[in-house]
Amino acid sequence: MDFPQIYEEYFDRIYAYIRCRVNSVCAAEDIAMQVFKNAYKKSAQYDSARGNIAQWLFGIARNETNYHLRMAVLRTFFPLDIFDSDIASTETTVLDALVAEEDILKLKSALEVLNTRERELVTLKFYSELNNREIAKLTGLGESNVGTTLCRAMAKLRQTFGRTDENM
Amino acid sequence: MKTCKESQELKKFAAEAANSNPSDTRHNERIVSLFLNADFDPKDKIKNRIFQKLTRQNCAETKAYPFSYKILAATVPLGIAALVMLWHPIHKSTRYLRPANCYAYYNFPSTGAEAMLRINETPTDWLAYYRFPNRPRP
Repeated sequence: MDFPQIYEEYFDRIYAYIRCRVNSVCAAEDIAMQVFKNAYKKSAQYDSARGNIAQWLFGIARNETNYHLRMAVLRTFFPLDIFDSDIASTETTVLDALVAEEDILKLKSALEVLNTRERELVTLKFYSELNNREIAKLTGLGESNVGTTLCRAMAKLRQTFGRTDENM
Repeated sequence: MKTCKESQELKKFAAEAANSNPSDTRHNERIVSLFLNADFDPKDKIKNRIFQKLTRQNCAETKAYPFSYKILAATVPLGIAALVMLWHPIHKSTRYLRPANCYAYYNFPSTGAEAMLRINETPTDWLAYYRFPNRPRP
């Protein structure tokens, strides 16, 4: 298993999936790191007969994110995002950073309309590109249940984005 | 990351979730593209940072503690066994006869006279000395 290549190929998708489910940038970074650390440590346990690499990695990412969200109920995390120097950095212009941040906020607010399960399935679908059967296997839900939930979630998102477009 | 147009699975999903309604399908594709094109990690800053951290941790783990737990598991029981053997009273020289009472049962099978001789550190050739008391000793 060529780990750097896997990292290069899947990092963006895994990070985007986690970022959509977790509010804090720092927490998302920590979870993403934990995901790849676990994947590297347990790479000997990967069995291609049980699923492809995307399925395996998104399974780890899902478990880590759920663990973080469960812990977030018990603990209070102090967000360190205020120390993030992205906006003031010289690498990107302030305007670019603000526009990017605004886009992400727009997407996040659209996801707020969905309930926890819908949000999880939609983000899995968008970033893992797994089919409904693979998602059902990963989440332990029925295949038809996954399909119905995704359809309902997309209808809600259509409404939300329709509204936001009208507002703009 | 692939766009919605490139990924067959997402294209199929956009159509399925819209019940094959062309306008809703387009709308779905636009939503999916919005999510896929969102730049969560500008200029791969986080990606590079995590990769560096992982590489550093991996180097540290492999260099600092190679098989340490195995060495510990082998040496600790051996050390304990060595200490037990060294400190055990079986290795200390004990006198066979105890001087408190030369006729006591714990000095058995020695007779009282033999016991007294040993306690008083009589030489081994005491019998010759007893028989020939006037012979000069070395």
